[in-house]
Amino acid sequence: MNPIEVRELVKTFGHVKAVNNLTFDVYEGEVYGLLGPNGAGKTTTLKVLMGLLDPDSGTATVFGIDSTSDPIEVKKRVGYVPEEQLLYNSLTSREILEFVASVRGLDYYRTKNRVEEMARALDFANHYDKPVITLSQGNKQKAMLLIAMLHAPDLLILDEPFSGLDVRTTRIMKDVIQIHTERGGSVLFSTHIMEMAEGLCDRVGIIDDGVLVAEGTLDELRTQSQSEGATLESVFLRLTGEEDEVRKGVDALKGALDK
Amino acid sequence: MNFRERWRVAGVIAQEIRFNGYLDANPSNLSRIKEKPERIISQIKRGSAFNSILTGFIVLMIGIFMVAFLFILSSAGNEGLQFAVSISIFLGISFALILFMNLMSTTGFFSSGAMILPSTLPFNKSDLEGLMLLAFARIFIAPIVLIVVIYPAMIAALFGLLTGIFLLAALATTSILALGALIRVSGWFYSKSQSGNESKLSIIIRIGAGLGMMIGIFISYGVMGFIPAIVDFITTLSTIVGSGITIILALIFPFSFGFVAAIITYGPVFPLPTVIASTLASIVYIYLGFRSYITSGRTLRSLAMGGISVSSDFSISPIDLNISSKLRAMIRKDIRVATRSLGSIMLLVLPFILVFAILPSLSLGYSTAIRSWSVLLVVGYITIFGGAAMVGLLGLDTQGASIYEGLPLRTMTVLNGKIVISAVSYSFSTLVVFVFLLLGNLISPYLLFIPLFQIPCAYSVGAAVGGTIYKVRGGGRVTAVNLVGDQLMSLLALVVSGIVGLLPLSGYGVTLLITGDHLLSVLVQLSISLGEAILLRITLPHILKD
Repeated sequence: MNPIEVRELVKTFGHVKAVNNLTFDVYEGEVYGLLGPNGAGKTTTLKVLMGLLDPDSGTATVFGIDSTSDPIEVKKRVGYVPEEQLLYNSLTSREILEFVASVRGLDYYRTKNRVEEMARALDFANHYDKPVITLSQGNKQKAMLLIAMLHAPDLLILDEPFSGLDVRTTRIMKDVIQIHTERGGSVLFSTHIMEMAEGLCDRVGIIDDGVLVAEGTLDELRTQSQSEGATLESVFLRLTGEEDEVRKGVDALKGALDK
Repeated sequence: MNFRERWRVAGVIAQEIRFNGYLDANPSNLSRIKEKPERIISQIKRGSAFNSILTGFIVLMIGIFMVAFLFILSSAGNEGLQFAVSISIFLGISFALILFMNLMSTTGFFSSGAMILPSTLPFNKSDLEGLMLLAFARIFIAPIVLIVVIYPAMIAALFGLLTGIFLLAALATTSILALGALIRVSGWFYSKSQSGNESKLSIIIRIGAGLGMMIGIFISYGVMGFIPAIVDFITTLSTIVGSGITIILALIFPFSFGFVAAIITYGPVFPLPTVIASTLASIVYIYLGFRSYITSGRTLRSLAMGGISVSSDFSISPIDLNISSKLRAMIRKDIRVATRSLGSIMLLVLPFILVFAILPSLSLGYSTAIRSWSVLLVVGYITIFGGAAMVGLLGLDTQGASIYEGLPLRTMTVLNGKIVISAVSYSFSTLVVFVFLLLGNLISPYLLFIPLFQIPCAYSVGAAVGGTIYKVRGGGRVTAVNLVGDQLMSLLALVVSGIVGLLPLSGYGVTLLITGDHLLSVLVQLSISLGEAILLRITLPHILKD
């Protein structure tokens, strides 16, 4: 039983097929990157995994637990950082963490130690008693990470965790992911930033228009796309058939800017 | 940029603010908007139209009432002063309505981010300020247009064109002053509520502001019934004290405008000092309105673009956590969020205010014995509005979607937390009625049990309203509804709480009509209220979804 098993997942929004027959696994101790352009179906897939959206067909399981029929058990095992930073603006990080720890029924001493250590590591201690509304985007992301990791989950599901972060916070996020997997945890994250995926992921799934177009390690993807020594960006563009399209777009842009 | 273009751009900004407000109001909307985007967009449009119609209807009713009153008093003596006072009261009500009715939704303007795109476009500062003020005005356009256009039109038709035109200017000034006050008060409250300062004093200030606002709204609506008495009081006072009182009144907003309107309509019916004082004061207030228009745009820009300075003296305290049970954590979080939002505080204190607002109607019967119908009326009134308080509690989760999405929280647990808060508030209200009845002269001692036997409805009303809204708006999952932004849901809440809350009371009433037996009637009431609570307790978990 793998931490994540997605089988023939289909999810439509009206006439749009956001996820189309998607199948992939995330193994234990692995960092799996779900790559795709905006609107490819990455967030929808993660929301179905978290039990926030019901699939039209197919299954999504987390540690063998079905996300649709038992989302509560799934959420007990997972630390989730959604793309949107919708925290209670008027509450302080301390008040939010108290709420989360209480809902998860965590032990006081273990949680206090964990928060202390993580806040120090994330350089967040100074912001602990500030209302969320006063926090920068990076600090909000740190608060979300603290919330997601408070219960020491086995699996982290992160939706676009690097969007809009400064260099320092990006580095912290990368370190958190690496440390988590070094200790046996698994990570599934979505991103459209190729450098992040290239540097962090053990395996990558490329999704386009809701369809998984390729999957594997970077070397495997290079072989699949017949582009030896290429960067993940080039591999991605070739596999999604966007190479020519991007080249034409850049040429058109050059023409427009020259006028 | 000409006014037409600015008006159009301001409309786009206002639409964006409404759209963000709708998404903010409901944690699940961000996840679900892609499922049925047309439906959600049409919901937003319907909701906005419904809000405008409701607010417009209230203003229209007040306007018609005032005009009818003016028409009646024109045949009585001392009509000049009565006309001045009546017009002044309408101006005062308009000011209060614009200020208080919009205070809740205005704080959202500062965090909507809708002005960020226009700020990157080649607009100069004054264009941007004007746009912001126009967008702000467009959100509240319905009541303002009704106030500024319809009432002067009615007055012009009945009392002459000149009076109508002057009232148009007076009401426009009043609206601008009210919008200016609205921007400043909501900005101040926003900074206070987001300061994170958890001292007892700051909590008292926040709750005090909510109570003050609630009382303000009640005075605005309640004053209609007292207009004849207020007019009589001022007329009598001026007769006893002399013209000095009219000079002082003529200097005070909104009486200055009222006196000038009376002078235009009836000629120089006041002593010359009063005429001069009211005219000069009116000019000053019109100038202040113009200044307010200029500075409000600037204030709005600095609040919406630069953010509000919330607090700079955060002290670094040792990291600690107060971990409690799930239910207690839900309640504690809701109370914390509630006391930091004007709208939420208002809804939390609503049942208490209602009790004290309606209790005097019971005291009318003190000369004779209090009858069962009076008690049923009071308890029924509190019960129906208990549903509105529940909607307010559901609206607290407007900003916490990112937290909820990852938490293993059963929908029933979330709902139970809110039911507990609304139940405490409701039970307290019914106990106040019980104490009041203890002190009163009752037609039957069994009447004492009516508020007590209604207490199971503290659970039923909250559960029925919460369950219905979660089912209708969230498909059974946790959802948040904004009482101001989603008045269709608010109406549904009132209907549901009406059905659930009034059924036991109707049981009492029907049994009494048939048998004339008070004991049997209260027992029927108790059976129905307990039956409802048990039924909801059993069925609710089945209609909700995690």
